[in-house]
Amino acid sequence: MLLKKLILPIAMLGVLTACDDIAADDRYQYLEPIEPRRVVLLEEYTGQLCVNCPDAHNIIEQLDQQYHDFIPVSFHCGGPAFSIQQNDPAWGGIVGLATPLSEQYGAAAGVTNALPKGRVDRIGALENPPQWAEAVRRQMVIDTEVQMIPYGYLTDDNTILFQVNMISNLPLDNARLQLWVVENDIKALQMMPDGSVNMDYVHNNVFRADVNGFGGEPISLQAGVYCSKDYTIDVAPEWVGENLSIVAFIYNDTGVLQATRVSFKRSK
Amino acid sequence: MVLLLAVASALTAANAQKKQNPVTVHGSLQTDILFPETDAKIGTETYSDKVLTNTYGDLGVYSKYVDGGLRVEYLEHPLPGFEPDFKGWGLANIYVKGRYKGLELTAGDFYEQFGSGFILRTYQERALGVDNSIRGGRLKVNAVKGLRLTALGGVQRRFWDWSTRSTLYGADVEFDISDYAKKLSDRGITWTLGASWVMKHERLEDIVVPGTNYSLNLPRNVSAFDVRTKYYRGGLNLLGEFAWKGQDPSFDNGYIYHHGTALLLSGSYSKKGWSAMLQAKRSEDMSFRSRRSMSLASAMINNMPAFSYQHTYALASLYPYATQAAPGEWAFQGAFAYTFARKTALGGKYGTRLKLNVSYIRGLDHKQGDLFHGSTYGTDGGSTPFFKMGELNYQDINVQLDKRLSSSVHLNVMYMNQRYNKTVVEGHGGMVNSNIIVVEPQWKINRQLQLRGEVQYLFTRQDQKDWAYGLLELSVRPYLMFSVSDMWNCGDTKTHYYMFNVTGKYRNNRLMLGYGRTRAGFNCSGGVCRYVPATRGFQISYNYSF
Repeated sequence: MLLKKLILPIAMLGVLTACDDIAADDRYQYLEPIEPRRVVLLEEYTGQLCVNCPDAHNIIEQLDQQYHDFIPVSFHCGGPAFSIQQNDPAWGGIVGLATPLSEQYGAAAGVTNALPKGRVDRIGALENPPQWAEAVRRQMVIDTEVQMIPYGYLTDDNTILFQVNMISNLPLDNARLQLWVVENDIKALQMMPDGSVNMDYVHNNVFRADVNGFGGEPISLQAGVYCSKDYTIDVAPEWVGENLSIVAFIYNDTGVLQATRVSFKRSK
Repeated sequence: MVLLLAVASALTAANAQKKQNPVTVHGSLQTDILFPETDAKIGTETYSDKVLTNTYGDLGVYSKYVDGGLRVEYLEHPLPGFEPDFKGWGLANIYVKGRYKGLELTAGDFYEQFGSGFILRTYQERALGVDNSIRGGRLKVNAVKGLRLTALGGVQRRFWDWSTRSTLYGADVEFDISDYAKKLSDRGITWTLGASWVMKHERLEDIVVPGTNYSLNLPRNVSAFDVRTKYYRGGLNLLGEFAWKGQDPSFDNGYIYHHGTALLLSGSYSKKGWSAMLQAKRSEDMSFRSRRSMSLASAMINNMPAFSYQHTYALASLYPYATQAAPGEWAFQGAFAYTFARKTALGGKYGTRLKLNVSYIRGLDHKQGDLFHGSTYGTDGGSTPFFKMGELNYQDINVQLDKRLSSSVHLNVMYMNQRYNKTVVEGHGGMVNSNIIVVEPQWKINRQLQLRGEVQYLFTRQDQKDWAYGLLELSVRPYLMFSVSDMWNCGDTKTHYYMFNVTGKYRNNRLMLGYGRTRAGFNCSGGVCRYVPATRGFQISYNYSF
């Protein structure tokens, strides 16, 4: 009796729920292309010794190709388990991309040794790479009141002259402006997903330094009034000027309000 | 917490006065405190808090028909290395349980395991920060001879979140054939059949295939099944278990729509003087979480049994293996123990016990299938031939000798050969091949004093190369124990990880005071691991139970 009353219904339920398979043709849902209304910043936390990180770099590259209004910045951090510090004698001259500053940014974001992680426009908690595409898409269609127009030049004496012009439709207080130096095309060691070591892995979007201090500087904008800021940045000997970008963004407690990026060619 | 203890003490006192009262009260307090210090030499974090603690207080009231209990956890300033969401405090567990005849009904938070845990195992492991209890209801029926039935439903705890975005349902039945077959019971045979079903119902989310305008059509319901049989007769134990999991695209498996499977075969035999055990397991895509996009150790619904020997010696547990639930593995484990009888050539005056343990774990031979716009998302995830194995993940062969040399001197010796694929477990580092020797003498000086020592050495050319470890422990029975130890990386960094401890026990109280360094590494239990960063500082650990 008990067999009939309890076990059979449970077994039936199990069999029914087991048939929830989704056929290969039904696994994708088309999404209407979006019209970006802001530039979106992805802060990625990565490491050269992290075998899962190249997959995250691929996701970033795919997003970079898909969206013009997308700026990724990669912080090499996560403690000794995953980062190789610059000039670390233990690594015998291998180029390390982590710096105390990149570790500081990672720690401030709450990075542990679980890499890769990332956060889009500083909204919410750190997310795993599969969440980035949706977060970028979601964030990109949100209106912003702030616009940023950057200008930048790399001079022959390895100096970057950078100007950013900012305007807001509404008064903006309690916000901060942050500028970072980012470098592409750095060949350095990377552990790969199959466990092999790629000594010539090309690292892109690598955070190198902040221009206006950790966390940036306070900024206030009056409605409809341009505000302009100028910066002179010396290119460090280990950087390649032509591969550098300056990433600038304005943020407050609600997240990043707008971002912009300038890559350099030498001025004639 | 003080209030909790006061209430508990009052209840205990009241209970003691009424010996006839069938209601009993039990509880416990566990607090681990670290006063952290920064130490650049070992690479500690910098701390904003001067005191870090993980504190748990349990209180339970038990009677013939009704039980109730609660647990308060204070993890607002947790010890280093736990996931960020671990932080918090409050009432973490509360339940009431009623039983009448063969029925037992639980409402609130509970832990449950079906079979070996292939499709459901909820448990608490404080050292790992794991508590995946279910908050809901559970009915256990044990009213029919030989038949045990469990049905449950609820939401799963993830640190301080009991979100209803994901709910769990499950049922388990175990049938004891020998209760109905006299021939079996007459021959001392116990033969059990079991079957389980677990379903996760999870709200949909947007997982966009990177670089495309497509998102995944995710399954709302993921079911898993488990069937098993256990046989026991006169020291012989046999177990066969198979589990199957439906399409469960998740962060762990790269959002592929693959079915998970697990097969376990286990046999053991014990007789006076010797015992043997042999197990084999193949699992594939069996990471089963209540939240598909979670990583690390949280929100796990199941727990794949570990096939690696859990060592307690410091250097033997330097490279612990974490079960690879998502990519899968072929795992084998064997153990043999033999006691040489007293007054024989090898047994000597007091007898000698010899143990051999072998763990051998390989990955699966995975062939990449078709991709969708360069991504595994939404695909079947390639193929893995059933019997083909991939690279070696882990190997441990250890021999342990347990010998009493005289009435007051005891000696344990262990040799271990280990191969640890650090890249598979930790994500970097390659294969670490090591040989470890442990010598552990114990000398009972008199009825009050006992001295125990450990000398360990790990030989390896990889990773941080050789390690040495020494420990001296003096027990002053029954109240005190003093220990001093040092783990020294003599092969590479030359760093000493020293530790001094004093432990006192009085009735139900245990207090440990310590000072020293702990090395960064993985803390594992049952194949589940947590990264623990390096620490230095003064430690207090206090336990009380009543």
